[in-house]
This record gives sequence, C-alpha cells and structure tokens, in this order.
Amino acid sequence: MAKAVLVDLRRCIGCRACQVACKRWNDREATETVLNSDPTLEWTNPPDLSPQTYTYVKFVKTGSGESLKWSFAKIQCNHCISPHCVNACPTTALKKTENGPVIYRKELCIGCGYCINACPFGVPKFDEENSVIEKCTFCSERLKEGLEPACVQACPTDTLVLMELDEAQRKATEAEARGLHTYGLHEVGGTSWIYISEVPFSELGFPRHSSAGPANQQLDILTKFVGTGIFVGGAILAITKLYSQRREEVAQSGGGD
Amino acid sequence: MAEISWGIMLAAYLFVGGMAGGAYMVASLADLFGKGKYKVLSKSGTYISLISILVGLVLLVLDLGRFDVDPLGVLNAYINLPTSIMSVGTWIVTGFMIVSLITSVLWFFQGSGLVRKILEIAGLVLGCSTAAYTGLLLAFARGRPFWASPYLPVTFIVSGTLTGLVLALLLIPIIAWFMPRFFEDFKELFENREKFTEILIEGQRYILTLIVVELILVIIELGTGHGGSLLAIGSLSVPFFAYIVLGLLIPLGIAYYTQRAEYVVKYSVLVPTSLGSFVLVLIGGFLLRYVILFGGQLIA
Repeated sequence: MAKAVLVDLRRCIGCRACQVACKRWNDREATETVLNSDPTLEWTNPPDLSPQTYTYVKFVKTGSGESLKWSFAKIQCNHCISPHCVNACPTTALKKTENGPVIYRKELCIGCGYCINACPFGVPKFDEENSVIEKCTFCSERLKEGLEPACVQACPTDTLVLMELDEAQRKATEAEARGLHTYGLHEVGGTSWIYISEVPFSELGFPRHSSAGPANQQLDILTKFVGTGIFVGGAILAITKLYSQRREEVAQSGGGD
Repeated sequence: MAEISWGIMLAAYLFVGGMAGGAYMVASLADLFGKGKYKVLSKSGTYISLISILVGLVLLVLDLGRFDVDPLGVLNAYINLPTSIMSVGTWIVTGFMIVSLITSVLWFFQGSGLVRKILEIAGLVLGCSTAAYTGLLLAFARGRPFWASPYLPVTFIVSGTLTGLVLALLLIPIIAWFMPRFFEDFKELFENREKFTEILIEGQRYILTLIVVELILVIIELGTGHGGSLLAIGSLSVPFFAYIVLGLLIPLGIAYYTQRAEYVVKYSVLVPTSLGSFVLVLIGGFLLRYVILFGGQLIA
C-alpha cells in the first residue's frame, strides 16, 4: 500500500528536529548559512533546499505589530502521485515506487537537468561535485523495513505522521470541510505529503498549482500548440501565396512600385 | 530562489536545433514545390540542417551533467518513450539526423531524385517536429511557468524556419567564395546576378512574412505571459530589445525595402544589405532562445 505523510502545520513549533534527523540519517554535511535575506523569512535557515539539505523548516512571519505571527512549514520533496520529474526524466533514473517514494537511480542518470525544471516545487538539486541529483528519498530504505522516515520519527509534536495515502487524503478532506487549508490533496494531481494549515498556503509561499497532473497539463499545451501551429502555418502560406500573385499581376501589367 | 540549470550551451542547442529543422523544411519545400527552380537553395538548406543538428548534438552532449562520469550514458535517453518529451525528442532528432544525412549525400553525389523527394517528405515532418520539440521541451516543464505557453513551440518553429532560410541563403555566396571547386552550381548561381537577385528578393518575401508572424507571436506571448517580469530583469531586457530591434525590426525594414524596390534596387546594394540583415536575423534567433531560456529560470 502507498504510504503518505500528513503534515499538520498547526502543531509545528519550528524546532528543526526534522532537519537534524534528515542530515544525520542521510549523511548530509552541515553547510555554512546566513540569515535569509527575505525579511518575512529571516529565520529560515538554511534558506533553501540544496544537495546537502533534503529538508528545511520555513519560518514565515505574517502580519505586523500585535498581529505578528510566526508560522512554520517543513519543505521537502512532496513525492507526487504522478510526479512531473518522473514524467520528464528521459532515462527512468527517477521512479515512483508503489509504496510512495520517488527514488533516484544515479546509474541511469545522464545529468540533463530536466527534472530540476520540471518539478513544480523546485526540489531536485544538482550536486556539481559528484554529478548527481540530490533530493529527499522519503527514507525509502527505512520504509521497506517498516520504519518511519527519520524526520517523522524525530518530530516531537506529531506534526508529521506516517499513514496510508487514502487515510491522509481522507483526513485532509475532512480538514477542508472544517474550513482549514490543505496543500497536496489536489495540487498537481495530488502528492504523498499532504499539508493541513490554518494559514493560507499562498501566505506561506507555497506555489499555486492546478490539479492537473503531467499528462493533462501536457495534453492541454499540445492541443493548443497544434491548433495555433496549423493556423499560423496556414496564414504564412496564404499570405506569401497572395503576395506572390499580386507581384505577378503588377509585373505583368508592366508597373513597378 | 533562482537557479540556472540550463545555461548558454543549451540556449545554443535550442537555436541550432530549431534552425536545423527549419532549414530542412525550407529545403524540402523548395525542392518539392519549386519546379526545379531552387535546387541550390535546397542543397544549401539540407547541408545547413545536417551541420546544425550535428553541432547541436555536440553542444547537448557536452552540456550533460554526467558526461564526464559516464560519456555513453546519453544512450539511456532512448529508453523512456513515450512519457518523457525528452526521450521522444531524442528519437525524433535521431531520425531527423539520419534523413538529413542521407538527403545531403544524395544531393552531393547527385543520387536518385525520387528517393530524395520521398526522404524530403519524411524529413519535412521530422524537421518540423525537431523545431517544435525545442519549444515543447520548455513548455512542458511544470516548474517554469514562464515557459508554459503553447505559443512558445510555434514561435520556435517560425524562428527556426526564418533562421534556417537566411542561413541557407547566406551559405550560397560563402560556398561560392570559399569552395567553388566542390560546389560549382553555387558559384554559378552567385555569379548569375539576375538569378541570384531573384532568389534573394523571393527569399526576402518569405523572410518578411516570417518576421511579421514572429513579431505577432512574441507580442501575444508578452501579453499573455510574464512579459513585465522579463523586461524588469536587467540582464534580460537588453538582449530582449536587441532581439526585437536587431533580429526582427531592422531585417524587417530591409526585407520590406527589397520588395518595394524590386525593379530598381542595385545588385551592389541588395546583396550586402540582404546578407547583413541575414546575419542580424541569426543573432536575433540566438538571443530569442537565450532570453526565453534564462527568463524561465529567473522568473518565479
């Protein structure tokens, strides 16, 4: 059965235990960082995903004065149900596994970088030094052994809970019915990491996406492209034909311009 | 955070890939429907398509992030049909390269005209698909909303045809000057002032149309997409304006001038002006890819 993680941001206290656990389990190096240059995200550190950072906690300041509020949001690969990166990868180096994780197989990777541009969430990062793509693995090896992902195990507030995908989707649907905001239930055709929040996700800086998965998104572009292409091609041929005819008529009548 | 994963080599690949497809389209249409009038142009366009696609492939392969680790790994790109547009594109480009190579050989050694024309029909489809692929590759990338436009591949086909046509025309005097021994018909055409003038003026007629269509497509793109964001990025606004002015407006003016002055223009004015404008069109074609490619990665 496909696994999912329900991320209830109402519970998150921004302790960053998930960040540390991820670094330790995945043997990622510490990197020197500075405060985020964006004033609404200044305590977010590190400021973004990188080959050494599979996950980080976003510290988002909303409002000001007495209404100032901090919200925290863990960011990592969302392990889409129909992943754009897997769809884009020409070599099947990226693969969606049956139990949820999107895994990377470096022996098949050619380093084309298409996954970096295809991912709707900006997750895959290219490690120049080792010539590999790096991203959250959903701790697929731990899942196989019946263990939770390292970040989920480390979370002290149960913000992160591993469960079956259909259960996570049901809980998120119930949360929506109670007026809460969700992310990943609909976006890009659904993801295996589903968020619940009191704060709208647009305020947390999550990218807006329609519910179209890769197949629907590409079919839509392809259909409009073919229609536009036929119209433009026909117009070019018609204009040049008409123009040539006009030139011949002018030439035959002995006139110039 | 802005991250550039596709750089200038890929912009060059998109440019030459589109130009290869466009040059072959021009060459095959001229041969199939030209009643024998445009043989040299067809040859020129076919040779351009082969050289361009080979240059493109070299650029692409060298730009792969794992080329130094696994140089033959690129062959893995043939395995993921049909989910990945890049995999589909790899097959299309391979087929196109083979057709372009055989057509070039048939032209050079004066092989069977029937076989060549059959190949040209297949190559017309493959060439158009190659030019379209360079745009669809970007348009399908969900993480870059700036590219997600159905007009983008159409713009790349039009630009590919335009740049392919101008380079095919430009190659005629270049070959006539530098390699007249191997390409006597190029030399003959170039030295026949009346015929070369006629070809240039007819070419300029198509160039005029293609530039107007490309301008309309770019205006639509800017209007419906992220034009404002693009112009706000200093490093992109300069090449963008250079593309519009140098790559489109000046060649458009020159093309228009050649049509107005068909019966009075002097050969000594027409040839250098036209050839100069062709160079500008080529620079514009590259700048278009550069601006689009970097714009998509810099605009959130």
